[in-house]
Amino acid sequence: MFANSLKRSILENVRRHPVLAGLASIAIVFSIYLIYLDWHITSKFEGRRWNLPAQVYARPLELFVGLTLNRVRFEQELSRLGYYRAEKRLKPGTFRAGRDQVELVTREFGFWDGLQESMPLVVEFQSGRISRLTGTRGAVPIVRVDPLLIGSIFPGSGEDRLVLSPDEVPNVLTAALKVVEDRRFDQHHGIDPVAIGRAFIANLRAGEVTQGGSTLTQQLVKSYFLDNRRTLSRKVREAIMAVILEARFAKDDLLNAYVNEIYLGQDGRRAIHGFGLASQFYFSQPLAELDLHEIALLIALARGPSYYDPRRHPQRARDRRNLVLKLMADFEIIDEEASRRTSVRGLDVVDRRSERASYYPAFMQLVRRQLHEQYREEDLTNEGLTVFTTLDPLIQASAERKLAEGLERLQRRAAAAEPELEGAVVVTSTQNAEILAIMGGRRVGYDGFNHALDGRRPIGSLVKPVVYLAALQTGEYNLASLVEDARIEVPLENGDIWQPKNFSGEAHGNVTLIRALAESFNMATVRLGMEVGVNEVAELLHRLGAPDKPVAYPSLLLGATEMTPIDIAQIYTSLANGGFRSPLRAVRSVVDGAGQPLQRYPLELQEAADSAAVYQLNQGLVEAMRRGTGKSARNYFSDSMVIAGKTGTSDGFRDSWFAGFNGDHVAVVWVGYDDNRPTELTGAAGALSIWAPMMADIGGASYAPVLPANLQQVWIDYESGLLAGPRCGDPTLLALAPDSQLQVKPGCGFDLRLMGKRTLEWLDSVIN
Amino acid sequence: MARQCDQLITAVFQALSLIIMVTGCAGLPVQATQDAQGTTAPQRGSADTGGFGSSTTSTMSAASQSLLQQSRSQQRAGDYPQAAATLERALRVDPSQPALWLELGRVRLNEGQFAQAEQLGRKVLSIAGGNLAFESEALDLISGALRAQGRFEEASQIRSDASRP
Repeated sequence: MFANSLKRSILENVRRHPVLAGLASIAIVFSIYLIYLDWHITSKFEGRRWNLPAQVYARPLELFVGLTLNRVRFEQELSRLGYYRAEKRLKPGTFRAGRDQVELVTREFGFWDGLQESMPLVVEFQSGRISRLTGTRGAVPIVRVDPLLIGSIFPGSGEDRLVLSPDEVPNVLTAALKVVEDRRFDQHHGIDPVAIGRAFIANLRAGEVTQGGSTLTQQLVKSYFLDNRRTLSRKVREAIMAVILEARFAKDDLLNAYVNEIYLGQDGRRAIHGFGLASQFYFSQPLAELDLHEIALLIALARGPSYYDPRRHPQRARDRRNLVLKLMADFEIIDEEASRRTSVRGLDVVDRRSERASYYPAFMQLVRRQLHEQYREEDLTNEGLTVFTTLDPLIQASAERKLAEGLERLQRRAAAAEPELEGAVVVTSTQNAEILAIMGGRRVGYDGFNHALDGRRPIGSLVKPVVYLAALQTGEYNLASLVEDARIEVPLENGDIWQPKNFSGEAHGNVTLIRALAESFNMATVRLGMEVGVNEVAELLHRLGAPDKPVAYPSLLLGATEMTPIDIAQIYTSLANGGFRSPLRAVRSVVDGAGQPLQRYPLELQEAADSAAVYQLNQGLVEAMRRGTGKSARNYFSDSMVIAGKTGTSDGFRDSWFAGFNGDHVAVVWVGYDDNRPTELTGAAGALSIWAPMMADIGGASYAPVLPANLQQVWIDYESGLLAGPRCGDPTLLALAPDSQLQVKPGCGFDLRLMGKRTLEWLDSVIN
Repeated sequence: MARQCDQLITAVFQALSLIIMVTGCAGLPVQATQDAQGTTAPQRGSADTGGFGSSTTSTMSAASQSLLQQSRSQQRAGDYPQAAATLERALRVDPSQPALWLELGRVRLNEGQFAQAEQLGRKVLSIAGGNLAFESEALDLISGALRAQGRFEEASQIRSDASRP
């Protein structure tokens, strides 16, 4: 009833005042539009001001007395972190180098366990190690240098940024921004008619669009919606939104939003937003440390990051930067003298090659996979997480260099028609099970197929240590035991007979286990493995770190099973770690946007094999490097350096492997072709020729495990397995269980003066 | 006949040298090491480890000492995750130091991660290299972790296994 009369009265009014009614409807529609725009822009600004991609850091370098590090490497690390050489007074992020020492002031940094304040340090070096570490108040036991930012997990849109709070933005930057982009920022209400008029006249004169009249607020709105169409309606909408923003928020908030939002460069799929990330992208330094000429360049880029790209158009970039400097002087942000002095400086942008190489795509892939087990994609791209990883940039640099050099050398030997030889590297820490470096392929920074993580290949003789370990664990064998290396026929389930051959084609008769392992005899290994049981070997492989239990065919004993380099790294890290398996980690810890720890990825252990048996096995792997299949590596190491390792070659030379370790690092190298054609390389000729120079370059301590309390060291004749003396027969020092039955090699009478007490006690028990 | 005689003489000579050696050794001071708790522990002789094996490093670097102290204060504050993280930092500096692995095992025991505490105890046993103090503390840790899981028989078993010569 009432509704009807209202309707009638409205219709009556419309008929009487058609113009007014039209205006009223427009006003209503416009108001609704305004409310919509207001909701749209305010929620954008307030709800989530920015996507905050997780920022991913390398391991921080820990400085302490005794650390293996020389001055040159330390300086490399510092310049990778964007530390600058300074002559006079040092400030955070600068250093000064003497002959055997480096003075620096570290940057403040928020680690997973709290903030570490900036501090001055003197680091002294002596014979390849840190010999003294001093701060302002005397000796410092241990201190971390801020870690290298190695990447971020940005969303599908490619937007990446490092958000700065207002107090992290230098005043000179905001002042200069206003002068260059929006002189009346502090006065206007979102749009600036004066600037629009000025731009209009300038454009008319030029006959084309050369100048924009957009305020910072308008640019901010434009950037929010990533719409580059230059239509009038869009312009109007932007202007309205700018006015709304200005009405609702303080100038300081808007300015800070601009500083973090503005698009300043492109890096492949990744869009560089905000001055914080741009500073890292162009200078590898935090914004607070930039010099005037660098700040001026970033401001110059706000107008057109691709047109003024300092890497592709250095002259253009320089001209615009100097215009910025001139404007800064004109408006008295800096004095004329400073402007002139700064204008002659170079661009000082970090060079693209060194910067690209620091992307570590193969490692980042692994980090992403490990994080995805716990986090949703939105959390990683939005929540401003900080991810602390295990990557060691110094070791990664070694791996990159040595893999590239090695593959190039091997390629030269191959026929010209051959495609590119591929390779992969994984380096881990022996006892902490951290992944220190990964090369997923030949090309540094190539974000393609990751051979280290996904390249499943037959592992060849890399399996053999597990066969010998299975035998040692039974307690019925030791490395001095004999096994027959002679023709063997293994009946298979399908009725076929398998007849494995030695690489050399020869048979060696009765050989010691240590010799059969060190020289990689196939027939002896298969015989041993059949005695122990293929299933035992398969199960042990799985326990040590193979992702699945391999099918227990006899051919498994010679490595007819496929694994990736990182699987091999897991297995060999368990061996290097005395039989304890620790899941390999690429991430140490994740911290939320407020600096609170969210998740730790702790070191976990699982005893996978008897540690005394592993100790004995590793003596065999050391012997393999001394006189077995790995002996060609010796040239790269001093005589006192103890290393252990094993070659692997798959059927038809399709895969060339090497896996080995010293006291600190385990490294796996794979070399092969993508199309699986034969490489004509053994493990020694291919992978080892990369492994050895790489491990020598990385450095690290000798492999020196603690002798298990239940084993005794004795001299054994390598060929016969008989008890020998240090200067009798072909001696090798082996640790054996006290109840091992041994015979003395004829002619090797004991020289008791050469033996220690423990051996004598043991001999006593054996002889009696 | 003459050859057998020779062999007898050699054997007697060897036995004599053995006695001289053993008594000679007994005259030397017992090797002593300090563990993290500051107690002094005798160490089984392991002089003849040759080029490959090494004996336990019993001196801790200043770096891991200071991290161990930091971890202890984090433990006192009940912050076991950070205490463990600090110990992992120390283990990156001194990965072969049994005292650090032992301490990490105790943190795991205190925060109720019994399986890890047990494994860390086993790790200490494997690297103690005859250091009786570490061995005994590792056995305490393992049997404590086993008892906490209700595996009482295994806990007493590991004790009696260890007391056998």
